[in-house]
Amino acid sequence: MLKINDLTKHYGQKCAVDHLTLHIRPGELCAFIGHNGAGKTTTLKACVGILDFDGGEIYIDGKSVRKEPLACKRIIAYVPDNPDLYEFMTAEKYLDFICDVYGVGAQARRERIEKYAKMLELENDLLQPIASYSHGMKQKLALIAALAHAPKLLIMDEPFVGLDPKASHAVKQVMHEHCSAGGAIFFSTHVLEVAEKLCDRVAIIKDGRLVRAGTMEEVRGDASLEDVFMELEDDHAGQTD
Amino acid sequence: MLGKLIKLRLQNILSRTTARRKNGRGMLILFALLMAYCVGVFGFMFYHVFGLIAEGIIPEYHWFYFALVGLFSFGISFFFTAFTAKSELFEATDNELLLSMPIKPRTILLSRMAILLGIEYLISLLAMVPAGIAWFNKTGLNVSQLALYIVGSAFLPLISASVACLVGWLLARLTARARNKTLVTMIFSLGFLAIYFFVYFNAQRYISSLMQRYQAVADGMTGWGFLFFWYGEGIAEPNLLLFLLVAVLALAVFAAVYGLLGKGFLKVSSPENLKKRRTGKLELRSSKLSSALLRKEFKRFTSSAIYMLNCGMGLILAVIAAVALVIKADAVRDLLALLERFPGLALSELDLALILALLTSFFCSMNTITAPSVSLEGKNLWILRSSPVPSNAILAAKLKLHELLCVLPTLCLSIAAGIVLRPGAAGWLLLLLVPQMFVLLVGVFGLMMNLCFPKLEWINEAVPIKQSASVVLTMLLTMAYSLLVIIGFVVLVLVKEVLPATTFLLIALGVAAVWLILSALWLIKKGPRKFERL
Repeated sequence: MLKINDLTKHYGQKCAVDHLTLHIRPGELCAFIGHNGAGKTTTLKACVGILDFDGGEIYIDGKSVRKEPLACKRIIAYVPDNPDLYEFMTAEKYLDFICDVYGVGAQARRERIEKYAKMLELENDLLQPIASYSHGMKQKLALIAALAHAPKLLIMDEPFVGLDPKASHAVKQVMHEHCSAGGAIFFSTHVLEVAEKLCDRVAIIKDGRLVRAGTMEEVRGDASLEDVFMELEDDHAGQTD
Repeated sequence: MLGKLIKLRLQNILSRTTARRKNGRGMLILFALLMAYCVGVFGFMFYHVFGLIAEGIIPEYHWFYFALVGLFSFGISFFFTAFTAKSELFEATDNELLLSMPIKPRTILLSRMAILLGIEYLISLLAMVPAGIAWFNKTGLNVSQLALYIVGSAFLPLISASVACLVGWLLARLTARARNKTLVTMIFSLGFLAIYFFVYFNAQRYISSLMQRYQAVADGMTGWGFLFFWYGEGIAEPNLLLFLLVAVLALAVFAAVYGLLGKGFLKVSSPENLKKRRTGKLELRSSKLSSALLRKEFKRFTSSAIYMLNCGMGLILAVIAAVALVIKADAVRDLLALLERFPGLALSELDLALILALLTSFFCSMNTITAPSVSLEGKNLWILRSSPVPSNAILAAKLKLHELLCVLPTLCLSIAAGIVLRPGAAGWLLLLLVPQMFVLLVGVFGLMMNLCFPKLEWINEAVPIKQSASVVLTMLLTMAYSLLVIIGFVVLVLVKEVLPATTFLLIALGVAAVWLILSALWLIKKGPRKFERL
């Protein structure tokens, strides 16, 4: 579903992503973890096609993000870490706009919006202006908008930030459901427990380089994900010293 | 802390012009040139007006000159900052962030008022400097008068800034309570603008009337305008006591307004959401991509009073001008008949139609709807960038909104011009088509400018709308074209008689057409790529 081959991205002299290769198959839920500034968001944005990259290639369902950006965007959905939505619209109009953009039919959009709004407990707020929404509500709305067009691949940047425990639980449920239906999810997170409990696969990035990737069992072995992550961080600190 | 906050705000203002490093220097030079042009034009105008006033005043009423300069400086600086005050003080998006920090709300307020005061100084200097030069040119240099005049320039803006802050505060409170904030702001702004245009169009009459009976006006001013009387008398005599009174009063007013606003700053800056919750069933409607994009652009435009007022002013003015043209049709015909008195100037009906068509184009320059439209995407840009929407469809929607909004008012103006001129079919065609070509030119050129000079990181939407290079360049360059056509016609056709009127007008039309074609080609070829690289 998602093939990242040798991805490289520089910001001036700084190498944000360094020859990163990672493959995610349909039905997989892959967590992308790393310290702040490791290159997670840069990688996710490159996959979504909103950030140009210097080297390598990204394929979504066999299509190149560079060569066929629109075809790729049609089958993916992106939820950024800070959901800045159109505050001059109501949630209802925003969802309508997103569905129009993805060409979702009237019946399908109603069913999906009602379903996910109910799951995320936002159904009573859809007629309100987005400007009146809290961060968590915007996060939920961004997720509903992302799911409204039934994407094959869902790319999320820190999806649990700002959500209350109940909403987090609902989001995890939605993510599981999406993958069970054959979709794939690639998301970044700082919450290692979430990654450990939720995901089939995990990828750890450090200073733009992919240092470990595989199934959860392969990556952590007998230890916890936190131990593995800290060990990798310590290795890095030792190398730096 | 106050210094840091002011520095932060100034950095934000400066970054508006130098945000893109590779263009930073060029942009600064361009801005400096534009500013020099504006200062030059206004300075020249004020110098002549105040020179005329200075000529006609007898020595006993010399104080009146300074009082008048003070009043004028107060008026223009207040007018230009009253609405800025509302957004600068209470609507900056970093208000909540700063209020959450261990900084006294009063310190935040004072830093904002200090920036506003700085703007007041700049605007008032625009009048004070030429008025001072005009005065001392006429009377000769008087060191004590000059010293007091300079010091006085530092005090008067304190009062205009205070009044502007009060108006901004009142507006912020009113809009915070209103259900439709945009409507309230629009009504206030249009009322304000009506006053401005009323004064502007009657300025000549006021100045003549003032000069004829300035002694009576001056005597009256000692009562209702005592502050300006003290100010004028203080400089002209010079009377240090009166001058000090003005200084103390100005400081006291500023302090009082600061005290008053400081009490409710927290509440006004982060108002409670008083909007009634909408209830009912979801009304989902599917539509085509192009319609969805257009609707989104329309909603963006109509949801912001500042956007509508600053970038759509020509729409209202075009309709007002159309009505005025029809009412004053005879007077305009007489004016056009004056052209026939020029020796050797044989204007055909088509020439006259073209002249009117080019003049009506001037109103189009005020509709810079596309010029901030890309910048206004701001932090929301990711939505369009991550969606399967071709960039040219996004740009087309922005241009389409401009066209949809501008076509009708411009058509009204064209029809009104036709009623005045009563041309034949070819004349009507020119009157109808040339202004529409200009509508398209402003839209295309504005979009091109915004793609070249985008400003996506803003904390107040007034920044991309009022203070961005794309809007300033679009408005000034298209207005400069109209002005150059008028000047060129007067110089080359009427005075020097170098070119026949028809040839000149066709060249002017050709320049606009080439400009439009080149801008459109750039937009089609490079626009989408530029948008994707933002």
